[in-house]
Amino acid sequence: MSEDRRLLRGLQRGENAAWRQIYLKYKDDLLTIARSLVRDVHTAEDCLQEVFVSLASDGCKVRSNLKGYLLSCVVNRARDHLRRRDAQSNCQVNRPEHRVDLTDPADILAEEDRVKAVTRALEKLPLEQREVVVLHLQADMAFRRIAAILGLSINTVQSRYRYGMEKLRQLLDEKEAI
Amino acid sequence: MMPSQRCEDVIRSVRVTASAATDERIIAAGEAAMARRNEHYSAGIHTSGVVRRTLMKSNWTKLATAAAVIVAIGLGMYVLTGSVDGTSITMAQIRQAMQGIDWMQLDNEIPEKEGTQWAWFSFASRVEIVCDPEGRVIHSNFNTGKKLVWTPGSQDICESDIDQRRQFIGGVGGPFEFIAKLFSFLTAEEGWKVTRELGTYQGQEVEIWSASRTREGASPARTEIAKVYIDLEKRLPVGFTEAVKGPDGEMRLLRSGRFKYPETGPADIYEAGAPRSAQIKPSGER
Repeated sequence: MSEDRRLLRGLQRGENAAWRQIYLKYKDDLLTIARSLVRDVHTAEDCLQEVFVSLASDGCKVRSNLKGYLLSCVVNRARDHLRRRDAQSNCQVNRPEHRVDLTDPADILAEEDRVKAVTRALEKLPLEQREVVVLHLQADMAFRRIAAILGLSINTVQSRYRYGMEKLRQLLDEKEAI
Repeated sequence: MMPSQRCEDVIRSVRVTASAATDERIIAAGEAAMARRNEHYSAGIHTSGVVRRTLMKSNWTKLATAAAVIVAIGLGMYVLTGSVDGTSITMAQIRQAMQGIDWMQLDNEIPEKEGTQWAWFSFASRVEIVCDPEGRVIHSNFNTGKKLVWTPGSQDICESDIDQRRQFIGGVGGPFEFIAKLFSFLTAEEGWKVTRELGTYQGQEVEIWSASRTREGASPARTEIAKVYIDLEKRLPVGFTEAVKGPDGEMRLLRSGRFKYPETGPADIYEAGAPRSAQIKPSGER
């Protein structure tokens, strides 16, 4: 039995430990996605809390694919938050965790600048493109799965991704030109 | 211009981690929600003996017995939560799952009679077919108003009119409606304790709804226990058991049954078990 399936069964039996393990396993991935979608870390934390409290209350609704379920919950909560407020982009960006192996301080600074620039450019994308880019790159989801979660055709998802990435590069070019 | 692959890599590398304070806040909120859910999961309820007695007296006792269990438990949950929107499988979900069902089969085991009774019901065709433990096959078509009965050893199938006072499954249109109709009979009268848990039933993953009631005043004192097994995947009742535990702790199975939802049922009384050689004869000719 897969770990998620075991955790789900525990959750359905009302086991606190199972719920807590699910939280610890997925919280950072989900927070990253939420943060990219709502562009504000505090709102992202609220999304995370709502998703996990809802999981605790209605955990038995999850039938399979726990990660997919949680991701779709985060996307929906993020949409709700964005609808409720006029999302501002002047939020505090957490220091990203670098996966690029750099040793030269100058390279590190340059890389941090690049990350900040890309993050800010990502925030400027329309929500429908941002959702697809974030789910594909940060949640490592295939286009087919994204299509299922968002209720879109795979062609629409791929188009949104393509347009999103083009727009992203365009925004970064504009920044470099400045 | 930043190459596409590089841009993707940078987005992938962005990672936000929850602070310890956030973890603490969310874990506290989540565990409180779990505690609330668990409290709702098991609690005492009141259901009506009227429902059960009404059913047991009906002409339609066989399926009714099984359904009464569902009513008692489902209704208990309704009373308990104030709505059917519980934390697990709900009556509303069962209603939804039952909406498209035409045929329902009930295999009913009755230890006292050392036999099994099979029954099929078509809600679209308004046909009721019962094979009782004595081997009789009774085919009632409420659209034509005709009832056919074959008795083991006989070469005749007796045809008669269905009693006009009798309605197809008590006048309901569907399997869930049958249960829902019985809600109206409920008055808080006798205390049942209802619990729900996950388990397996004949190899299927199910949620088990158990209702138990101790009859202190009865002689001898006994505890009545009814269980319904709900398929976790399809949200359909798949089985039930009724048992009595005596003062010595010994458990006696009164009845158990299995619900099935086949695509179709027996096309006629012959497919239900009457021999092909048996001739249908109006009751006056026999």
